[in-house]
Amino acid sequence: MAYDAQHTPSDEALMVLYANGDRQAARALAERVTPRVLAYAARMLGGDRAEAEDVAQETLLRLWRMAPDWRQGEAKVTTWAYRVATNLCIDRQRSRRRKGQITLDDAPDLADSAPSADQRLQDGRRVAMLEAALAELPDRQRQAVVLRHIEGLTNPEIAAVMDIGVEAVESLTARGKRALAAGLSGQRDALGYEDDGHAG
Amino acid sequence: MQDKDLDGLLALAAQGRPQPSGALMDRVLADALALQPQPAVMRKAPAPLPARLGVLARLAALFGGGPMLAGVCSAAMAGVALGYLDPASMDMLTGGLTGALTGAETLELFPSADFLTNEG
Repeated sequence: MAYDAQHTPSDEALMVLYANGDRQAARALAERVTPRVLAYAARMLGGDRAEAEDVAQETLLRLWRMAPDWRQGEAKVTTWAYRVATNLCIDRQRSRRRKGQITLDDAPDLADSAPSADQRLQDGRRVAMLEAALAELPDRQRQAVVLRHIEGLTNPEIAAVMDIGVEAVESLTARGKRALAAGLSGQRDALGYEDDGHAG
Repeated sequence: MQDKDLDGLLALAAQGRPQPSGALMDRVLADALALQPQPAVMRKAPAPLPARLGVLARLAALFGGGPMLAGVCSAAMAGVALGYLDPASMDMLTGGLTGALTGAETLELFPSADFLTNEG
């Protein structure tokens, strides 16, 4: 079976096609997985675009290498990729901490999806503040929140990525969201939200 | 901050996924193609075409191999030699047996083969 642009084979089917030498499957898989891994890595690394690109490339490199041994039905390609990216990000975070190079200045660029320039500016400001608040979270909480609420993974998928139980994922996500809300609560004016006096 | 505000903010962040640069996609694709396994039909080197057999080889194959051909040739050459030579000169072969015979005497080399010449 060759890759057919009219149909949309699953990521797992594309892996098999890639391993069988289908060049179009390689392109399709790269276009599907790279943006997701890049976005995730950028958030994990505090918006460092260059490092996030390195992580994305390395993650995909490992994906290509293991394609011949890929066994369908055992895992989703994206779950596997997030897991590899998580480990690579953790390694880089540790390395940066050792070097004392953690900065929160850079936020990932946003895609132009807002309807107007003002709205786009406002959205960009809000997301930048969210990114900064995310960067303040403990690593595990940040991973859980990003995977659940931004990347859209299910709790069992996050459990597989983080190699923990589903209950632990729920706990990390809840604590992460509480910490985010607390971190952003003092910036309601800057965020453009009206203060209704209710926290959390 | 309310939960719905935070959820809205997270949803906004989810929409704004940074797009990979063209350079990154080029690198990723280059890796993919460099590491891509080749299809089985391309991976296996084509088998060499059988060399065109020479006349002798084909003749040998016809007779079941070189030794068989050698045997057939030897027999043919012996037949030609016997046919070419004058039968009188075959005395050298039979003289040991016939040298002592004279006149109408006959030598029965295959006495038990008379029945082959009898009719009825």
